[in-house]
Parts: sequence; structure tokens; C-alpha cells
Amino acid sequence: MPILATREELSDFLIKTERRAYKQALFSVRDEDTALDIIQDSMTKLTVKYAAKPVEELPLLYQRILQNTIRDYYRRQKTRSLWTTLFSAFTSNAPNKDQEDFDILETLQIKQESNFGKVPDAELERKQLIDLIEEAMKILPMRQREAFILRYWEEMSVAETAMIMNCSEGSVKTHCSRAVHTLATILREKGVK
Amino acid sequence: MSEHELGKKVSKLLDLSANENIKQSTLYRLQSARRAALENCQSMGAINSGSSSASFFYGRPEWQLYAGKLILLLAVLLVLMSITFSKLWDNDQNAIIDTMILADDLPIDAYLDNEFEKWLNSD
Repeated sequence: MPILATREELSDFLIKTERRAYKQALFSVRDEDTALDIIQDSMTKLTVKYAAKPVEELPLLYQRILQNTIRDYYRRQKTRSLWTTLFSAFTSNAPNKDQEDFDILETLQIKQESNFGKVPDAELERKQLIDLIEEAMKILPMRQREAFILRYWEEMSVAETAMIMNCSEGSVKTHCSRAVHTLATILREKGVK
Repeated sequence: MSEHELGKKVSKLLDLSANENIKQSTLYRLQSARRAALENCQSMGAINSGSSSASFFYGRPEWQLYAGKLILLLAVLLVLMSITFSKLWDNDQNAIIDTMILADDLPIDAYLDNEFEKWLNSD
């Protein structure tokens, strides 16, 4: 019989997860207040609906809730801007790019005047690198970012990632590979080895 | 550098970002969000007694979380059933009266009543 999570275990889990979850939401929505709203929503859903689950199931459940909450936010945004985008869609002849085919490398503009590597202070270099990674995460396409974060940052298996993303394991591998390729290109352009 | 190695390297940087690169005000708000979420937690939990690994529920059982909704549903069903029953009862009563009117002769008292004769002649 599985042992159910106590309130303290739930609290510990949220303490351990909240920062990473906040960063994930921030990378996705690029707005601090909205990211915090998403975190509060996802935490509330977890504690209200799934508190009676075993503690080992919490990471997977919480990631699923978090990703769904982020997707819900995008859906709401899409609905809100439906009428304005509808009008522009009629006037524009440009084909609507599918996110799967979207190649970030074609649109990415790298600042050439980066002074990375020239600053002697290691702490500053590290800070610059962190900022660079954060910016790179923000410009990754949503599905690639989601796959990368779940696979490498949250250390979930391909199967678990596929379950959370509601796609095939093959798609997860493709998204991850593309994400790493893009990040590697950005880092290389910035002179990071 | 392989794909996996790069992924791990970026993950370490993301860990640093999550640990060092969040404003204090944001951390307070995260803490508040967590506390609010835990206050909403009203489901059952388990207290593990280490040696015996037995668990005791100190919260409400899971079915009680839905007790309110269940009671509401039962109440609605009860009201619907009573309305249906009363409609059927009215229909039965009307059918009985109609059958009596069509099948039975007038009671003898009707012929003795002068008012009834007046009423018949009035048409």
C-alpha cells in the first residue's frame, strides 16, 4: 500500500520545487507577475486535488499541473486576442508558421559586442553566463523548452516527459535534440566553450 | 561536447539561476503562494509511524471531500423525483374523475336538486 504524503512532506516538496517552477514559468510567459500567478495556481491545484497521492508521485504530478497551467495561460491569451489576430490574419498573406517547423536560428540575433571572456572577474563571468542561459531559454520555442527542462533540469525519463507533454517519446527526443542544438549555437556564438 | 553533457551543463547553470538569480521580493511572494496553497490543503494526510510503517489518517477521508457535492446531487434528485411523482399522482386523479364522469350515472341527489334542473335548462 503506498504511503500518502503528509502535510510536511508536501510543504518540503513545494519548498524544494518552487524556485525551479517559478523559473520555468518565467521562461515561458516572460512576466514575473504572471509567472507567480501560475505557480500559485499550480501549487493550489496540487494541494487541493492531489495531496492524497504518495509523495513519490508528486514531482510528476506537479510538472504535469505546471505545464498544463502554462498551456491554459497561453490558451486564454489566444482567446483574448482572437478578434484582433483574426483581422490581421485576413489582411496578411504570410503563411502561418507551424511551431514544429520554426527554426530559432534563422531569427536569432546575437550581439557581437559581447565582452564574455574578457572580464577577469570569474563571478561576473558566471553571472553573465547565467543571464545568457536565461535569455536563451526564453527564446527557445515552447515545446523545445518544455522538453529540455523536463529531461535535463527535472531529470525525468523520456517516457515521463512524453506523458507530461502528451506526445510520443520520439517527439520528446527530437525536441530535446533541437533545444540542445540551439543552446549550443547560442553559447558558441557568445564564445562560451 | 555531447548533447547529454551540454544538457547537464546548462541544467547546472539553471540551478544556479534558480538559487541565486531570484529577487528577494519574488521569494517572499513564492513563500506566500506556498503557504496559501498549503492552507487550502484540506485533504487526508498520513502520519507515518517509522517502525511499524503504519499510517493514520488525520484529515477527512477522500469521499468526504465530495460529500457536499454528493448531498447537493441527492437533493436535486429528490426534488426531481417528488415533482415527477406529484405530476403522476395528479394525472391518476384526473383519470379517475374522468372515468367516473364518463361511466357513472348521475347520482340521485342531482335529480332532486332544483338548482341542477335550472342549470340544465339555462343552456
